[in-house]
Formats: sequence, structure tokens, C-alpha cells
Amino acid sequence: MDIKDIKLEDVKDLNMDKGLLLVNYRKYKDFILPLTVIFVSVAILVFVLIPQANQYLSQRGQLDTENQKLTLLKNNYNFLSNLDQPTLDSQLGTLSKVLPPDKDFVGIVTAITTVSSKTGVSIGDFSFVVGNLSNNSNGSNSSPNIEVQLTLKGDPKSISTFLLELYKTAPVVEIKKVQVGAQGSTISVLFYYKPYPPQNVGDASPVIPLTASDNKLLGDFSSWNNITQQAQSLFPNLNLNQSTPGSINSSGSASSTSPQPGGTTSPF
Amino acid sequence: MNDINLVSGRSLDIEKQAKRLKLLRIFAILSLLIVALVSIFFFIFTVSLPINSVKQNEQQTLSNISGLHKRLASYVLIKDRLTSIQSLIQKRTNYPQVVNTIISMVDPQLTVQSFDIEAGSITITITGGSLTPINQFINDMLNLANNGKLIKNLSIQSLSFSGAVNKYTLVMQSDLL
Repeated sequence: MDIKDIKLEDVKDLNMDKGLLLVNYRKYKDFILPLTVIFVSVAILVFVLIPQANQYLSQRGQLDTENQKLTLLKNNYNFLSNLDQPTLDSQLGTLSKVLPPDKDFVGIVTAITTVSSKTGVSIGDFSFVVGNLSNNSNGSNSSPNIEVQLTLKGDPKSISTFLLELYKTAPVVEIKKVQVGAQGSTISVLFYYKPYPPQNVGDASPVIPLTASDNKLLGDFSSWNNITQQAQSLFPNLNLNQSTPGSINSSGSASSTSPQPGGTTSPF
Repeated sequence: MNDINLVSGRSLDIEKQAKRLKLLRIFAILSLLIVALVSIFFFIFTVSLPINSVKQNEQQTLSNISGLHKRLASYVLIKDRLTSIQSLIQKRTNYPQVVNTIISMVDPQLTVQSFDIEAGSITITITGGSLTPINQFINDMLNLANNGKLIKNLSIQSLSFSGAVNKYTLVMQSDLL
């Protein structure tokens, strides 16, 4: 609209509106301040207090989480403080004999000869099925094994005792096949081993105490035929330094990744 | 005499408006107070949350634990070994127990000619000069099967007599539980 188009009536209307506005302002001016205060209060409630409440609740949640973490850490600390390093080393040593971290040929041969001498069963030929010598199962949950075929000489009763004793001997074994005959007996035994898991233990991970069954098992192992130390004296001419995979027999030589006579590989 | 209205309509309006204004003012002051109080309440509670002290404690405990890291690592390895060994022991075959139980049931008058266990199946061949201990052995094996201990079934594959050696030969087969 151009200024030339504004008529006198319009100007009058404008003046009238202004007057009306002024009248209304004078009439309600006392209401303006309380209404503004209420409006501002509501605005503070919506834009400040509600986010502040949310922040408070989230901080409260964070505090709960941190408290739980702190309790866990304190429990871990108390638990670990009460552990004795030499006892742990001894337990780990025992368990590493029961389930070696690598192919423990010394342990296997010693276990067989010890059980043999204990039960009066004489060992004929034996052969190892070694398989892959690289530790490709590292970190997995599976327990690889070495299969050993044994020829035994003895009556069925002593063979039975031999088998029972073998199940109470380190390393842990599983008998897959038993053939008892008049000429002799043949058994197929799996000797288990398992590489140590990767050392990525977080300090904040929960430490679960050993259960009663864990403690019982640890106690049971102390009575097992666990005689790795005697290996060299029983087999003074046993050559354990060859690295060719394949079959091993009692009159030949054994092969291993890195067997440590008289002990186990340290994980540290 | 007619009633005379001393209060004009305009005065009533003013009074009504004054009342409204008063209420509005009270409401405004109350809302301002509530907002202020709530704001102070949240401020105090947020400030008083001991997150920093808890975090400091955590750091302190963590630094204490780091001194025990070797113990932690040993313990974790022990736990891992125990879990693995337990699982192996639980799932391995109970052949030694089976062999021992069955061999102990064989009468001294009998001879175990062969005894094979593989893939959950047993085959046993025994010989003897008399049928009585053979019968006893069969009964004992049947009891094992009936009681659901170690074996789940039993079948006699053959019972023969050899006149040359004057001996009976029994061949039995059974499946393990």
C-alpha cells in the first residue's frame, strides 16, 4: 500500500486503536508484572529445572555405577591381598602339570612309566600321534590332545588297575579304546593340553572366588600321580630336542614344540 | 420504601479486579518461591553428590590393585585351568570304572579271554570249566543293566562248549550308559 492511498478514516482508526490500547494498558498494568513473573517461572521450570533434574538423576545413576565399581575393586583388592603368591605359583604349577600349556611329552612318558611301575603292568610298544606342532588353538576354549597307543602286558585285573591309576595321573587323560586280549592289551589314550589364554586381564574385572568344587579338585590333584620331575632319571637317554612332527615310539625319539623337562612353561 | 443501592457496579468491578490481582500476585510469588527453592534443592543435591571422591577412591584402589597384578594374572590362569580340567573330567569316558567293575565280577574260576571297549560298546569273552560261575557272571551283568549302572543293555552273542579243552566260552555284548 502506498502512502498516498491512506485515507483520513484510516488515520482516525489508528488513533482510536492507540487510545484503546492505552486505556487497556492503564486498566491492566498491575497484572503485567505478576503475569511476567509467572511466565518467567514457568520458563525457568521448563528450560532450567527440568534439565537440571535430569542431570541430577543421571549423575545419581553415574554415582551408583561408580559405587558398584568401587565396591568391586575393593572386593578384588581385599581378595587379592589375602592370596599368597607362592601358594598361587604352586597351584598353577600343579594345574599346569595336570593340563599342560603345550605338548608335554616328558609328562606323558613319565605318567605312563609311573603308572606302569605302580601297577606292575609292563609297557610294550607305544606310539604318539602328534599332529600339528604349532599352537594354532591358542586362546580358544578347546583342549587339544595327543593320542597315544599303548601296548600293555598284564592280567585283566592289573590292566584295570592301570586304567584307574591313569585317570589319577597328570596330565589329564581320556581313554578312548581298550582291547584286552590273551596276548596283550592295547589302549588308546588322549593326553590333553591347553595353551594359556591371552594375558588381557583387566584390574576392574570381577574376581570370582574358587568354588567348593574347585577347591576339592585342587585338593584331589595333590594325591594324583604327578611326577614330571622324575622324567630325566627314568629316561636318561630320551632325546626331547627334535622338532620333526610325526610318530614317536619307545625305542625311537620324541618331538615337541618346547618341552621343559621337570616343569612347565611359565605364562609370565 | 425502595432499596437504595449504595455500591455502584463500577466499584464492584474494581473490587473484583483487585481480588484477581491479589491472587495473581500471590500465585506469582509462590511460583517464584517454588522455582527458587527447587533450583536451590537441585543445586545442593547435585553439588553434594560425591562422584569425585568415589572416582578418587577408585583410582586409589586401582593403583593398589596394580601392585597385585601378578597375583591377579596367576589367579585368572588358575581359574581358567580349573574350569578346563573340570569340563574335561566331566565329559571324559568312564572306561576305567567300567572295566574295573566288570573285571571284579569275574569269578576266579573264569578267565577273561578278551575285553574290548570302544565308542560306548563293550564286548567281553570269558571261558570257564563250569557253567555255575558263568551263570553267576551273567546274573551280575543283568543286575548292572537292570539297576541302570554303567550299562544299559546286555546281549549274549554266543555260549559254546569246546570238548577238546573241556571249557565253556561266553561272548557278551553291551552298550554303555
